[in-house]
Amino acid sequence: MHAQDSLRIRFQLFLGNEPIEWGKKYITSNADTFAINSCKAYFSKFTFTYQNNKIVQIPNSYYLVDFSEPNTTEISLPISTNKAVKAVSFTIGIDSATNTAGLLSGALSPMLGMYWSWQSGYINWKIEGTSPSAKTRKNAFQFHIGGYLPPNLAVITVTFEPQKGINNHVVRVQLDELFNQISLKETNTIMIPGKPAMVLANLFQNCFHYKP
Amino acid sequence: MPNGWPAPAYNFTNNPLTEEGILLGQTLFYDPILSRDSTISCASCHLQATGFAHVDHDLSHGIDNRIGTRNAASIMNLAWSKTFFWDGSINHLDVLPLAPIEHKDEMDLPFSEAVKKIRRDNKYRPLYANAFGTIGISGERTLKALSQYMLTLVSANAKYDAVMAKKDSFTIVEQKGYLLFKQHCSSCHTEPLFTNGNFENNGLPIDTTLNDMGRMRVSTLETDRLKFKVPTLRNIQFTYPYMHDGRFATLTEVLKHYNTGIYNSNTLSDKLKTPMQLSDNQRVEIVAFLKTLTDTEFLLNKKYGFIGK
Ligand code: HEC
Ligand code: HEC
Repeated sequence: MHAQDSLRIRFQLFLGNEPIEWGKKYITSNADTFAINSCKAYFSKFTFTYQNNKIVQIPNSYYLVDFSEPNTTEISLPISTNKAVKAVSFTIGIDSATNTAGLLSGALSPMLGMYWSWQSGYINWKIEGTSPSAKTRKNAFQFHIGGYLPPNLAVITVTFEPQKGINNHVVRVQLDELFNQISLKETNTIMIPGKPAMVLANLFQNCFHYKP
Repeated sequence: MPNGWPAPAYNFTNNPLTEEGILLGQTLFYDPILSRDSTISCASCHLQATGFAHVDHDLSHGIDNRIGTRNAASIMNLAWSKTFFWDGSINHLDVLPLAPIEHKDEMDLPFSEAVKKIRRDNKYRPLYANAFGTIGISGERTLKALSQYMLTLVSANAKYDAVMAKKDSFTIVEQKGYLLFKQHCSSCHTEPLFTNGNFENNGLPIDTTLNDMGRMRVSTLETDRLKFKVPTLRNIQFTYPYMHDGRFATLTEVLKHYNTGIYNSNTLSDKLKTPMQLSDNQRVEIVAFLKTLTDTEFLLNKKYGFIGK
C-alpha cells in the first residue's frame, strides 16, 4: 500500500494540555486526586464518507489500542485514491454480532485481557488507576466497560471531518471530560455491563476530539 | 446427527471435528493441568456416568474445596444450544472453558497460564500437531479442541428415542406419563431436545442465601428476574440434584414442586399459572416417562471416558 493510499489516525491520550503520564497524580474538578496506570480500547468499523457521498466501511477494521504501547496507537486505513474523504466514523468497542461470533483471533482474540471470561463479551475499553477517594482495595479504580445486549449496548460511534489534503490525522482522547464528570468516591468500580457502564460509555465518547 | 432433530446452532465449518481434535479435547477435559494446582479437571465436576453433571453436590465443588454458587450442569447435545450456563451468560461453546478455568472457585488459573502449562507438558506437542496439522500450542487451539470433544457428547439413544423410531414401545404407565408430559411440560421442555432454549421462571421461590436472579444478571432487565434457561431433561434420572441450585434431590420432589409448590411472582411463566392438579398416580406416571429419557449407551460409552496416560 502506498502512503498516499492510506489514511492514518493517531490516538493520543490527554489530560489538560499534556499527554498522560502513567502514575502521575492529577486532580479532577471535583477535587479527586487520581493516577492512571493503564488504558486500552477497541476501535472498530472504520467508515469513510467520500466527497461524492459514497460510504465505505473498511472490512475487518478492529483494532486494539493500548495507550502504553505507542506502536498500537496509530491506525492505518486503506482509502481509494483520487477521492477525498469527507467524514470518518468509527465505533468504540465491539458490535453485538462480533460478540456472539464465538472464538476469534488477532485483535479479537479472547486472550488479550479484553474479554470477560465469566460472562461472554468483549470489554470495549478499560481504564485502571488509583485514587485516595476510592475506598477500595489499594485505592484502585477500575472501569471495564462493555455490553453487547440492548439496552446496555455500550458501543459508541465517533465521527469527525478530517482536514483536506493530509493523510495523517490525530484524534485526542481528552480524559478530563470523563474524570471531571464523576466522583471517584462513588464511581470507582464498574466491571459489568449495565446502566453505570452506559453512563461511562457516553462520557468516554465526549472525550474524543479531532485535532486539525 | 440424530434423525428428525433440528439443525444444530453450532457452526461446524469454523471448527470441523476430526478424530485427532476430539482426542486432544478429551485428553484436556480429563487433565487437571487446566487448574492452578493441577488438582481439578473439567471431569471433576462433569462426570460421564451422571450425564456429565456433578452428583451429590447441590452447588459445585472446586479448587481448595471451595463451593461455587450453582449446581454443575449436565453436558450433552451442546451443538443445539444457543446459550450456555443457567443464565445464558456464555454465548458460544468455544469461549465457555474460559469461565471454569479462570473462576476462582473452580480451576482458578488465568487462561494464558493454562496454555503455558500445556506447552511445558511434552505429551501435548504431538497431540496438538496431529489435531491441527502444524506444530503449535495456542489458546485458540485449546478451546477448539475442547469444543470438538464436547460436541461429540450426543445423547439420542434413550428408550424414548427407540419408541419414537417405532423400535420399542412404552409401558402403559410410561405412555400415560408421556401424554401428561406433553400436556404440562413440553411447552418448555420441548422434544426432541427436551428444551426450547428459552429463559423461564418456573416458580421456584428465591433462595435468599444465594439471591440468584438468573437471566436478569446478564440482561439487567427486570422482566428477566428469576428466569433460568430451560434445561434438557435427557438423562434426568441421573443428573440429580435438580435446578440451578440443586435444591431438589429427587424427581418426586420436582413433580411436587410443579404440582403444588409454584411460587407466584411477576415473571412467573403464564404456562404455570394454572395449577396442574396432578394426582399421586399421575406424578408417578410422569416420573416413569422421564426415566425413558435415560440413555445408558451414552452414560456408559467408554469412548467418552478418561484416556489413560
Ligand atoms: C468446580 C466445578 C466445575 C469445573 C471444574 C468445571 N465446571 Fe463446567 N460447570 C460447572 C457449573 C457450576 C456449571 C453451571 C454454571 C452456571 O450455570 O452458571 C457448569 C456448566 C458447564 C457447561 C454448560 C452446560 C450448559 O448446557 O449450559 C459446560 C459445557 C461446561 N460446564 C464445561 C466445562 C469444561 C470444558 C470444563 C473444564 C475446562 C469445566 N466445565 C469445568 C462446574 C464446573
Ligand atoms: C414455563 C416453562 C416450564 C414448564 C412448563 C416446565 N418446566 Fe421444568 N424447568 C423449567 C426451567 C426454567 C427449569 C430450570 C429452573 C431453575 O433451575 O431455576 C426447569 C427445570 C426442571 C427440572 C430440573 C432439571 C435439572 O437439570 O436440574 C426438571 C426435572 C423439570 N424441570 C421437569 C419438568 C416437568 C416434569 C414439567 C411438567 C410437569 C416441567 N418441568 C414443566 C421450565 C419449565
